Amino acid sequence: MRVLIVEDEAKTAAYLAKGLREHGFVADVARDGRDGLQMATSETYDVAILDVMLPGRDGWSVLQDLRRSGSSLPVLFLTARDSVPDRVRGLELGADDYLVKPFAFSELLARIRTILRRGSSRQPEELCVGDLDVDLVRRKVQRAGQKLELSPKEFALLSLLLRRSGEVLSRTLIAEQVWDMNFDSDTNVVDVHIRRLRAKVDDPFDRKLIHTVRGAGYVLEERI
Amino acid sequence: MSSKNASDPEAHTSGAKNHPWSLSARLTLWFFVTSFSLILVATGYLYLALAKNLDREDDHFLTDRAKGVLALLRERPTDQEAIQKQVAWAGAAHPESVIYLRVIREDGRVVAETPGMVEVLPSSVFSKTQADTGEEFSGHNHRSANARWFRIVGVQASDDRAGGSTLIVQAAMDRSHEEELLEDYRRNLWIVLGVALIVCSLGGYFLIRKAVRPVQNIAATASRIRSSNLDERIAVGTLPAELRILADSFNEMLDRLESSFDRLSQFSADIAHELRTPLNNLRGEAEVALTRPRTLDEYRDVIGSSLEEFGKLSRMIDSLLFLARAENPATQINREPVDVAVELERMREYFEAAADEAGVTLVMQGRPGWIANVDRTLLQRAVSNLISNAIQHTPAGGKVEVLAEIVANELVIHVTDTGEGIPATMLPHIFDRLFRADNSRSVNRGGAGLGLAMVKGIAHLHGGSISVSSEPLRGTRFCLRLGLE
Repeated sequence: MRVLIVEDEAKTAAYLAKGLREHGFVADVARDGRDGLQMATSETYDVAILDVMLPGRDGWSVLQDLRRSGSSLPVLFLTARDSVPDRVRGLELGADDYLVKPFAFSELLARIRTILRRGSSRQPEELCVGDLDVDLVRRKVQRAGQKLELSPKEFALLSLLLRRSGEVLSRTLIAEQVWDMNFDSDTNVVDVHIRRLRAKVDDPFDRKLIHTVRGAGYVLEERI
Repeated sequence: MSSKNASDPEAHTSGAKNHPWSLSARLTLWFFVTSFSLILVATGYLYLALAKNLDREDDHFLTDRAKGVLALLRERPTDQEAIQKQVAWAGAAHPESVIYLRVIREDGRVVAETPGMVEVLPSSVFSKTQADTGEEFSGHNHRSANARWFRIVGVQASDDRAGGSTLIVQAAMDRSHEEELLEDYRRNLWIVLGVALIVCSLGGYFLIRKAVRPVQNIAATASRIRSSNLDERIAVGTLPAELRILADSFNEMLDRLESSFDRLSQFSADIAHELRTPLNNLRGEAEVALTRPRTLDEYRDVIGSSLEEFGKLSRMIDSLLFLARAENPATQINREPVDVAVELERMREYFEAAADEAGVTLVMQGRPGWIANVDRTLLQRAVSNLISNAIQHTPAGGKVEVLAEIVANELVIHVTDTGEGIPATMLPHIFDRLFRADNSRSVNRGGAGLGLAMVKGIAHLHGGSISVSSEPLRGTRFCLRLGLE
């Protein structure tokens, strides 16, 4: 997967490139809008991360010209301004998503994966990590051959963690995906839900699957 | 307002194209024009009345004399001697204002004449003659060759007994004396007008300047006020009533400004304080971590802890930005039809676990199918803040109840808890930014004291309101009203 990062702030560009490379992406960096547009049109990328405030020409005009040239390259906007008209403008110009600075890197990763996953909408019927088996169609959960009883929301939470297994999911993303709560909340409500899910899925077993990543969120994976 | 300009009306006439006149210049001009024209009209009228009066008296006198001759002509038309005598005698009777009389025939032949009249007033100056109708004759003024003024009148005597021809009586009266009087009067008038010109313009100018000075004082005070002396006020005591209104409203504006300014500086100080705590944690932890080599897990722990602090900082900045936007009247919200009961159920599911852990019963009441046209995300945010606030402040065994209803174009949401309540002294402040009921920061129950301020901001964005009532140890009831447009 190739990612184009168009960002003039050196430190931001550097950690984005580093983080994405460590997660298996090939990342190129353009330092201004002109270079970015040139690279986006001359080479092949799977997704572009575009800062709005760029020297030379801003992200909006880059996106506009990109779409005008017939490219359907998925674009994720980074912006320090999050007023509604700004967001609407970005989306109207054909951006696929936007993130407001400061953002969590895990959030960026999750959104890039969501963008890349679009189009390939085939959902698996069954997911399994370690000795945990989840039947998404019959909504049944088994661990080590033992049947687990989960409430509908617990099931939704578990299947989100399973579908994105190995990905760190922020509390905000979890609240958004499971309860459709679309704001960044200060409270520990998600932690309580995770605690309850753990009580059923992890506590009775020796090997833990749901892990807390301090300061970032939660991840479901098999750790040796 | 420059007093220099006001004192120089000439400069203003030339510069009037570009600049509106100053108030004092305008008022001075109006005062001058009005008072001076009043004086001009009054004196002019008095002069004209005097002149008219003198004319009328002269006419009366001339009529009297002319009628005497006419009567004689009518009664004794052939008595030449009597006529001569009458005519000659006319002048002698009044040595001060000499009377001249002359009787001529239609063809111009003189019948009788006051001696010396032909030199001063030849027959030709009586160009107009009038009929003897019994009314008083009206003469006119004539300046003779020897530079004296006369009132003259010519009368046609319709007499057919005097040989079938018409006789004309010409009468004149020397009025040079009166003309001198009038001229004297005119001279005095010019002096009076000249003095009035000066008095009206200067007096007007000083009067207006005095009237305008309080306005200048107000302006001077206003221009003196800076953020450092916002407590200064305009002295109202000596001001006239009209300006007192201005000064009062100005002072009230200063009151409001001062209190906003105080709030703002308090707020900035609070923000700085709030930012300082997480920054201090970050710095301290990083410094301590670097003092000696550590295990990977220890480093990981420090970075993780930093991330938590970063998250706090980010959320705080987001919330502050949100509040700043909520105060801007131009901010738009994204209204959409929202099923209130569905939304409440979603929130119940979201908070159920947290409420359960706190031992608090969470009850939602909303009639299914009620659609409200509000911003869904903002509604979630506001109600979530109220619910999480209620759960935090309610001891185990308590109850949090959320009731939604639509009343008269408003979505009204009551959030009631059976918690510890809020002291009455704190109630007015709980919606202020960064206000915390308990000042001790050790008991941090999450949130930077922005939650309720955000609820207020959201209500404001919807054209609604938030209110609260509380009874210590019994519970608190919030009432959120969102306008549906």
